[in-house]
Amino acid sequence: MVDLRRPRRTSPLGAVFDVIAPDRVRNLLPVAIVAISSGRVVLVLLVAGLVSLVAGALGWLRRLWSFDGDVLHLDEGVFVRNQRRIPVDRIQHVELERSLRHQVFGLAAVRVETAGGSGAELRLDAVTRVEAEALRTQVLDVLRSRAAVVEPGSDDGWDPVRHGPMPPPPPAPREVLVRLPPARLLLAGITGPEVLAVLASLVFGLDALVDLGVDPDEVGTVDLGRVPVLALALLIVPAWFLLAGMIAVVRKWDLTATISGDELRVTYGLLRKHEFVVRTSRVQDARIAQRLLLRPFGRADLRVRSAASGGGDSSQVDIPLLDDAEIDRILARVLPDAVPRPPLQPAPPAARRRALVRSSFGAGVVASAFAVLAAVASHWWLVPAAVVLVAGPLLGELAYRGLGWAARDAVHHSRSGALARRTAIVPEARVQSAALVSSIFQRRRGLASVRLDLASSAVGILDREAGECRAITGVVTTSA
Amino acid sequence: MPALTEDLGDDRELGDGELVPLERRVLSLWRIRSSLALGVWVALVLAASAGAGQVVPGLLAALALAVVAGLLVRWWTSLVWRSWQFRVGDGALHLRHGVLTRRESTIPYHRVQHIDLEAGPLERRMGLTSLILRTASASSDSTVPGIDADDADALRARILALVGTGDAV
Repeated sequence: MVDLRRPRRTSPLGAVFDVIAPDRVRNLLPVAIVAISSGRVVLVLLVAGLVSLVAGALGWLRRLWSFDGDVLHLDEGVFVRNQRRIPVDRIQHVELERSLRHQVFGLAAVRVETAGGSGAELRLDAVTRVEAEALRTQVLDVLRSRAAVVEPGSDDGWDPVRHGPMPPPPPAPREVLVRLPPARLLLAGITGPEVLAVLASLVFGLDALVDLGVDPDEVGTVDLGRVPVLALALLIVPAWFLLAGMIAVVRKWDLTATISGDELRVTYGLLRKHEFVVRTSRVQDARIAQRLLLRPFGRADLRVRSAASGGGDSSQVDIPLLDDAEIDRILARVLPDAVPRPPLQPAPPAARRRALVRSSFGAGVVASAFAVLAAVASHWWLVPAAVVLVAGPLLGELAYRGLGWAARDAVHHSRSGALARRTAIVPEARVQSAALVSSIFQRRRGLASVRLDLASSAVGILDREAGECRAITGVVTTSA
Repeated sequence: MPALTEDLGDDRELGDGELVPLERRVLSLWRIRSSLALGVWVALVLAASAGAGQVVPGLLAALALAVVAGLLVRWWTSLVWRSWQFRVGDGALHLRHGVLTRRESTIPYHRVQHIDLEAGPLERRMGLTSLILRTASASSDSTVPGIDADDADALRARILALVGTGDAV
């Protein structure tokens, strides 16, 4: 076992990574501008590279970390020195990440997060894989042995006063909760945000062509002159979606959620391998997101969040396209009181009127803008006006049907969304504070909403009867 | 709504489990603040009109702005002030405020991570301070914007005594 009590440095390669990492390349932009404008490209790049390497080397010299079984230590800083101490009890989760450059050199990046603050509390960008795994294992061992210790003097357990520190109990057998095949990841990419990301990069690519002095019209006429537009679309659109799917497959490759005792571990990634470990006792809330296209197939994404860093990607893990049984299997381990998931009660009829009025009003405003256009320009603007007028109330009805709430075993389930639907699952024990919020329109119909403030984020229970809302805020803030 | 008493009386401690309004001085504080902001706008109008060589219309416009906006702001701040009530309960701090959108927030003491007392230069001159209960959630609505600076210390001590142990996350 690696002895982490001795202060140690990170890998010196980290300084090189700092210069060449893809996510740092944007820092080179000002350098590139200076280089091109001064005409001495090679010289400027050499100097800039040298300066950042020296800065990186100094930072590396000053960065020492260790773990003494109780507190994580990190000393760093060249000009401003920072000595950070993280008590092991406060750790929310541990995350290992191995990009391609890490994999080549047998390295890993470690992130350790506590509640609150911004960003990771401890971030080691390049340590050996052995060190990273030792740190993760030792932290979890300490936490597990502390969870097993009972009150001093008690007979049926380990008394630290009499027996000394307890050896960590052996890890519980690891059970695979879910493992996603590539086909499912492909489907997730095709129906997910990756589609928009690819579209954005297509637009960006076109933009870059313009920057390079290529006239996009010229590109268009050359192609369009020879091939029919339909054939082109038939080629581009499937390629676009396939690319989005492939991105998801590579990013989330072999996504596997396993559990051992109270440690949920999610691993994924092909080029950039992630390992996310969170103790289930630290889980704040879960969210089930139903994508519009996949709702008929009963598939949904599950998101599990810890209290780390108040949001952001690093405090949550997303598992896409699960069926109901798989979601229940994970929830049963992560938030046991959340299953079986109760049927949600629809919002009161007054909420339907409110949803209809609100969306019809919005549609009316947009439609009248189109009507003005129709009056001053072409009559064809009446077509979108009519579409908006029909779609408005329809969306309102869908938004109303999306609303639902239920509470069972001190866990609240709250759903909203007209097209894509999200269900938040919140244990009362995690609610930090609550607010009953009512707009002037809600009060007129005797409605209100509840906002539950969690360490991870806030969750809304929308458009219930005011009395019901008051009861909810009363209950969630008295449970200790 | 209870009577808007200037003084709570000597026999009653602040937040004795009853809904209480904010200090009357908070209203003055808000009015001074908004008057300062309004003053900046009036100065901008004057400067712009002087720059355009239209001094008299500029003066008239500034005067109109000062009167109309001043009255509106005065009316609105008193509505906001009147909407504000808070209660220091046994287990939680309760806030009620908001004119168009009304908020009734509950912050249980056992969730409190730390307590801030905050006072800017104007507040200090007026003997006011803001009490802020910090929970582990960034979205908690837990600021009482103006209580008497002399009461604040005692109130903070009372709430701290009720804050439990453990990390409450």
